[in-house]
Amino acid sequence: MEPLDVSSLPALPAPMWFIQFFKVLGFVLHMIPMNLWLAGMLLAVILYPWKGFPRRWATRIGRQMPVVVALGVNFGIVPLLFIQVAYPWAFYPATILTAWFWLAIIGLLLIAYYGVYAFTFGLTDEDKPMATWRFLAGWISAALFIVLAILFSNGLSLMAAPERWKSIWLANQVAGAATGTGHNFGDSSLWHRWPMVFGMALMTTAVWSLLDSILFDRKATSEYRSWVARFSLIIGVAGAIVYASSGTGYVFGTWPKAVFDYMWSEWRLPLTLLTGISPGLVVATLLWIRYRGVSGGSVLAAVLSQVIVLSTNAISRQLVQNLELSPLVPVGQLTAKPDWGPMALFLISFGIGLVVIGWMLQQVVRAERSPSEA
Amino acid sequence: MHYPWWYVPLLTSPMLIAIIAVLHVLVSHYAVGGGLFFAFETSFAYQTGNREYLSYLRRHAPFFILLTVVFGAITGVGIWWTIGLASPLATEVLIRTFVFGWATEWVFFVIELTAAFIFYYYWGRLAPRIHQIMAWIYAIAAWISLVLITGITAFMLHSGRWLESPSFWTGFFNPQFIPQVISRTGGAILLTSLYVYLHSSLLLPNGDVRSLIVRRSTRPAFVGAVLITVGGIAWLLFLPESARLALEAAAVLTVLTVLIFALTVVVFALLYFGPYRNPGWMTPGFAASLLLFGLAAFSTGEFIREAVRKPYVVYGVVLGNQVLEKEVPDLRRNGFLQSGRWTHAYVAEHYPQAVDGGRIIPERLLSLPQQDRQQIGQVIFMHHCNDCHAAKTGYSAIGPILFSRPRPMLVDMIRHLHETHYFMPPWSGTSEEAELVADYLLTLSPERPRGIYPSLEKLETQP
Repeated sequence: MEPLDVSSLPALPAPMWFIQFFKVLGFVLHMIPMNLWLAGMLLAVILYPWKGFPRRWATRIGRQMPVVVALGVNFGIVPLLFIQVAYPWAFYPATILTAWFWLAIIGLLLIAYYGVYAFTFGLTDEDKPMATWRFLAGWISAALFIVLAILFSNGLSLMAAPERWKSIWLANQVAGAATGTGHNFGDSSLWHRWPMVFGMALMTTAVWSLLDSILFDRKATSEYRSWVARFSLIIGVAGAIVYASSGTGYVFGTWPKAVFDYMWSEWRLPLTLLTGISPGLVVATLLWIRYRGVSGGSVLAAVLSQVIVLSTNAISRQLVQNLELSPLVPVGQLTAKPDWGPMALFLISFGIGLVVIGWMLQQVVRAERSPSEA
Repeated sequence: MHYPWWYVPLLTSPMLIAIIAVLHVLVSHYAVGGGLFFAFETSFAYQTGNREYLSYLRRHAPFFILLTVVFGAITGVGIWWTIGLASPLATEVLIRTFVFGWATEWVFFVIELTAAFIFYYYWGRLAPRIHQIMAWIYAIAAWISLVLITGITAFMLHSGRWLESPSFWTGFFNPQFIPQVISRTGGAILLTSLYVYLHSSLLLPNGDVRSLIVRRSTRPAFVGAVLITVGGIAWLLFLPESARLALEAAAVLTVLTVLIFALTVVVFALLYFGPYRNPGWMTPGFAASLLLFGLAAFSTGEFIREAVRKPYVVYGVVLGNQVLEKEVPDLRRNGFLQSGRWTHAYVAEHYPQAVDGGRIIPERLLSLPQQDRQQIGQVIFMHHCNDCHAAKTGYSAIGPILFSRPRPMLVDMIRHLHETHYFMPPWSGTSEEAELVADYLLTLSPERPRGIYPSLEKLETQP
């Protein structure tokens, strides 16, 4: 499509750095639970029919899944809100061209979410098999989470590829109006980026399993923790391999020269390198934990490593996205007319929210330490 | 006009918003009212030591979670999804104006969600006082989120002083804000009582606990009904003049207004004669009827609230056809097809002979063969009219509305759209473009049914 006249666009209600900071922060927060439902649900339905520790692990993550999904959906609101503030001229056209796929996310998510509850309510610590329909619901949810990730990438990768809009639109329109049946499945970057997300999902699930076994699972034995360390290493290494291989394909196979030159120069070079090698940090900590045993410090190191993986990925993606959109609108030239009062309202509410949520979680920790029936 | 238009056959894409929005509000109000219900009732049950009542409340919690946290939350996101697809310009304006209102609402969502899960999953593991505080935190956070979103949705109906001095605060504290907060709060309380009646009647045998639940839920139901009435009257008083006129001018809205009045009276009567005077009547059938009447009244209210905004999506700012009101003179001068990014691209792609140096020449469009003129007319129809009208058949289909209208009358009507029907957006194109639309509309218009005016037909056939 033709470039947009920047002067015709209304001013942003906050500085671009502010919008992008919260977009990236929100995305990282969203990625954690989203990763858990993407890989965790699949592993839960695979491992639940087993006996012993695999079943114990599947039961635990399965029981956590309703909260995980709720948080994932909720945290997803922030990046989507700030995307629409910063790039409405890219977000709306891309999603409208793929409208039915984009809208399907809502219906499928609803089915997947109820499937999670159906599965969760059927979980049992005993050796009894789960009712078939509940188990099937779990599998449907796991499959739908994978489909949802692809549909999401479909819309958002198209957003950053305005050069593809016209051909998709012309192939899917009635008298110029988009039929919403377009898709971006032909974009090779989509098929690299989606496995990258799945690789990160495996790593996040690996690290979460360790954190859960040491922090929340009060009944975990040292044998179980040891099993979790082995299991986390396996899925963590698998995730790192998937992430690294698809990431290599993404960078060297799909990046145009302009993007390549931009990301491999100046201060962005160390960021790009860190984004590429950060899964190695996770694998290193998982190896350390596997052979030195699970401890608070080592799990904290694993958590920090995974946060680095997710953050560097999100920041790098943001930079690439800005560059990809620059032929349409040079993002750096957008003007801002900050709305300080409402911004202060948000930041104060954010602070109060953190305090209130912190207090509530403190009560949970207390209850966990001294469980008693009221 | 930066955005493509999404064509949904028969239904029109904005109707998808209406469907999802109505489904959402029926649950989201329960999410707010349910918070108050749990806060008050768990406090009461703990303070009176009523373990049976507490046990019922514990059984009500998963029903509440499954309905509000899953269906309510996802359909809430669904509305956001759909408005971006079917009404992108209005969504852009709203998000740009209220981004920090939405961000603040999100903070309260997270508080709500955390409190709801702790309240539910740690039932029996938290000290009673802490458990009650969790319920109150949820209730307050949920109500604040209602207040925040109401400020934004009320702005769509009446933007108030925002047009003279656009800012978050002038937009948020609009004339419709307080009336809608009152009526929505009332709606949340009333609807919750109706959900509680149904749930308790299905789960509990007729006895002391059920009787207690019914008794304790009836007073809030009346309070809710009073708040709805007060808020509704204030809503009516503070409507923009155009919306008040729309209520009188559009027959369907008049009928729906009478219907909502009738449904409200029915709900009042059922509440009074049922749970208030005869708690024993609260069988599942009675409770289901009561809830259905309540849901019907609510849905009708939401439909009216949406419909009276016409011709605007955001009052005074964005017209129903995704055009900024302030842009209309420019669009008339420069042409609708020329000004739209996607309409221009369509003409340039399919009719390059009508484009010169990037400008669409209207006279060249008129000199195209009839079939091409109709095709371009359809392009304009899609982007100018399809927000509210399907084509031949479907929602408010334009064919049957305009049937057998002679071409000159049609062209004149298009050029003076808002003068013909004030709740229609003004024509936003050139005179030549009006001709092209007329060419297309004539292809949709069915023949006048034969024999409908026999005496006139006889007159017309006389030499």
